Amino acid sequence: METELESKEFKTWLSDNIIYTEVKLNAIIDLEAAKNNTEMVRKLSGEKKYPLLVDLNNIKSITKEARDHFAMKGREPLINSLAMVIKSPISRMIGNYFINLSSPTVPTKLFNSKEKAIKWLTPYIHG
Amino acid sequence: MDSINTTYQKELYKLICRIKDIPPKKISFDEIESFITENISEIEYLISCKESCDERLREMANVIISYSNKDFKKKALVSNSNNEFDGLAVGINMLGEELSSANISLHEKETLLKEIHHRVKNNLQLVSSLINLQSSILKDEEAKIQFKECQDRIKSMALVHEKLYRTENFAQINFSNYAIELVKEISRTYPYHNKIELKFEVEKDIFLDLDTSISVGLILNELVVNSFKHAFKEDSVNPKTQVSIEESNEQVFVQVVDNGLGVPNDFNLENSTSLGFTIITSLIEQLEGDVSIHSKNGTKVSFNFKK
Repeated sequence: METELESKEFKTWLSDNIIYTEVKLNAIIDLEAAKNNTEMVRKLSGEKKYPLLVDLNNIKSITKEARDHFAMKGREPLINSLAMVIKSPISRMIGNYFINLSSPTVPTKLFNSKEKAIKWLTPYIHG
Repeated sequence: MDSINTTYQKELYKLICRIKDIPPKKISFDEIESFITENISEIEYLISCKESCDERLREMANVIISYSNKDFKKKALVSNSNNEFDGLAVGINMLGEELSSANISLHEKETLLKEIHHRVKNNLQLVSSLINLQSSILKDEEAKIQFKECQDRIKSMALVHEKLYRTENFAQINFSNYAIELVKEISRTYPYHNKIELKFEVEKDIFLDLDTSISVGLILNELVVNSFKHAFKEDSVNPKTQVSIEESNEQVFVQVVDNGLGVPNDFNLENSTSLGFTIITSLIEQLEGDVSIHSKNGTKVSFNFKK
């Protein structure tokens, strides 16, 4: 049974050993929202580290503090890989910024389709 | 439409030719007029789109200009449409945040560096004061002189740090200004200084880094102290010491000349056992420079090094 967690900005669930996070329409992600999302991922993953797929398409903006938080610098990452789906102009900009400037500490890649993202994440699934 | 006389009309003319797939100049004004009448609502829509695009681009340009002025408070407007303009606006805003963060961290580092130079200078001054205090209880005159020379060397180093924290540039100091200030400061503490004419021929704005400045400052200190201490007697006529510094082809040339007693005929810089000359030769070696000393109607010491 899939457990789905929800906040004002995100919908997050675990399915087939991949954690999915979808940004809600026109969500503005600040540090608090980012921390909430991390907490949701923590609840879903428990002791294990899963690949994470983030669908950024509906995002409106994200603050630097939130970007730095998601980059997981200086802390143990809860995930082992990160795929971001970016199709909209804003999500494309944010995804590229995140990869280039925030330099995340786990393998991270941008995709314009969910299917390709899942395919890339699959080798990171460990039971 | 009687004639095409504005940029706007020319653009419209070209646009209509393109839409109707007609080669330019093969369309009459009547045709243009009827096209506009038939498509007025679309044309008005396109014009309003263009105006709105121009307005957003202007707004984003203003935000970028603010960032160039280190004003990072402004943000580009992001609508809910999630279009290319919104993507651009989000990118500009994120760039502003990154710049602001880098600017704050740079400012913090500068403040810290300033503080460190200030503390180094204060500590060197403290060491100098301690030496002064210690020398005041000495009875041996020669020992007192040695202490004083040591104090001068420390002061010359402290002055470099003072120059560094008083300017915005922590990588280099204006050595021209430093050298003049240093020599004037040394001269004040020596007997007959009022009688000795001090001359400077210093090229303006020669900048040197911290390490080079300290080394060259110490060499200059030794040379000027030597001149003040040994070149003149109380009854010397028109005593004069001149310091010249110039830069040419990335080489800096320094010269200290006086019209005093000169050095003994058998003086050899490399074999000299005096602490002052040992300091001079070893520092010049460090700078990979050259030094020469001439004695004719006084003493002339010249050295040069690569910047």
